[in-house]
Amino acid sequence: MNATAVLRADASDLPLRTVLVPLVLGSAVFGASIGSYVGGAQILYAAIKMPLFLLSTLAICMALFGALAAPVIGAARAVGVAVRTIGVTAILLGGLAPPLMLLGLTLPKPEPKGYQAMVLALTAAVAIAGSIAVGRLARELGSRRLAFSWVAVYGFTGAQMAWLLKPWIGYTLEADRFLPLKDNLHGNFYEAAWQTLLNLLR
Amino acid sequence: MFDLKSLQVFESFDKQTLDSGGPFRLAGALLRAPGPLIRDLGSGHRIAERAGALFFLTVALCAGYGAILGLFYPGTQTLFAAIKVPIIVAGSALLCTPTLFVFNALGGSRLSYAQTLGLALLMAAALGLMLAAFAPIVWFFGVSTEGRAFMAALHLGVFAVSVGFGLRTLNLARRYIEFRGGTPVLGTGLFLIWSALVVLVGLQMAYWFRPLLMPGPFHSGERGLFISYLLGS
Repeated sequence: MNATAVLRADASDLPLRTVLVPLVLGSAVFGASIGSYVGGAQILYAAIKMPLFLLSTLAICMALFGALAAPVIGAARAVGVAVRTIGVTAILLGGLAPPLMLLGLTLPKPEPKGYQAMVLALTAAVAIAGSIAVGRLARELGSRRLAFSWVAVYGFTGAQMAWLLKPWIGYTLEADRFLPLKDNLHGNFYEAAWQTLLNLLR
Repeated sequence: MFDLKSLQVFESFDKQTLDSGGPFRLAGALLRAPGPLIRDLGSGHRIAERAGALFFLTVALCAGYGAILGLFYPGTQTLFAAIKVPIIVAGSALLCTPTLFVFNALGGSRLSYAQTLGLALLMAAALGLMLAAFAPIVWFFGVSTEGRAFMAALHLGVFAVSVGFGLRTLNLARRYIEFRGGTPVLGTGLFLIWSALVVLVGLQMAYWFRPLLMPGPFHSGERGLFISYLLGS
């Protein structure tokens, strides 16, 4: 099966289209599990947005990835490595989807603790999948420093992309908004994080 | 004199080749295999062609980044920024070339003025390449956020990284030329002084050609020092 082929350590020869199908499916399943807390249409919305989030962030960062990796592995090979790394991440996230979906269906709502538990579980799943994928990335690139610079760039851009594509879990429990772009264009992730920090300190 | 890692890098540079020198081929070479380009600058071979291609690359890449910078307020500012960023980057490199030539000569180098100009443009082109690599990310933040302060900080960060990359490329070039030629090219101390100088010149040029992010005239003609602006006075 394509997904197991992508996860194998010797997956460097796989063509990109072989990686893309499990990437989209794995991330869609993970998205659906996130949306299960709200339920209804939110399951479909998050399932569509998660592959969009992963692939569009990758597309935006690709020029810089290529420039950073060019002296080490060449820009062309960098594309394959980057797509495979996101593919590994997405497949791992898809694998973590069932327990996440269980949480989504059983956590109390509306209840701040239930929402926070869902956020923590989502963060833990991303941390686990991300750590494994980064380890694979460092091995493929042959440089931990380059791998961490890629992760920093992807994380920096991805935080804003996640902000732009919210809601994900949906604190309001309303599943009637696929992508409230007009609202999301006010402020950005980093301004919101800074404001939150200031509020905490006051 | 040269550590083992540097020697390994230089040996890999010696094996690299570059058939034709069109600007975009040079861009790839600058990232992946800069050895042949630096050899040509060091020996003076095809110096006019190399310097011209590096200048074109600098202007084109910086103009692209400038356009994206100016897209935060679409309209005339987009065009103004696309013109101003190449002026700032290429202008700073060209303004500091005489100093680079004198510093080189001080160190005992036999590089001609044309070769020195080539080195300064190598730095500017590398800077432009890194700006171009950041351009999609900056564009994304530009269209998805309204915060002017955040965007200003982001552009400053991108320029800081790009300047670092440009100076690192120049440092690599001067050491490789020294490795091949046996004569010193711009000792480390003078290189650091020149690096600080070109950064200061760049900051002052950016201040003189303000505004870059906000809409405004192409050039206000207002005099001042960038430090006073940073200190808020």
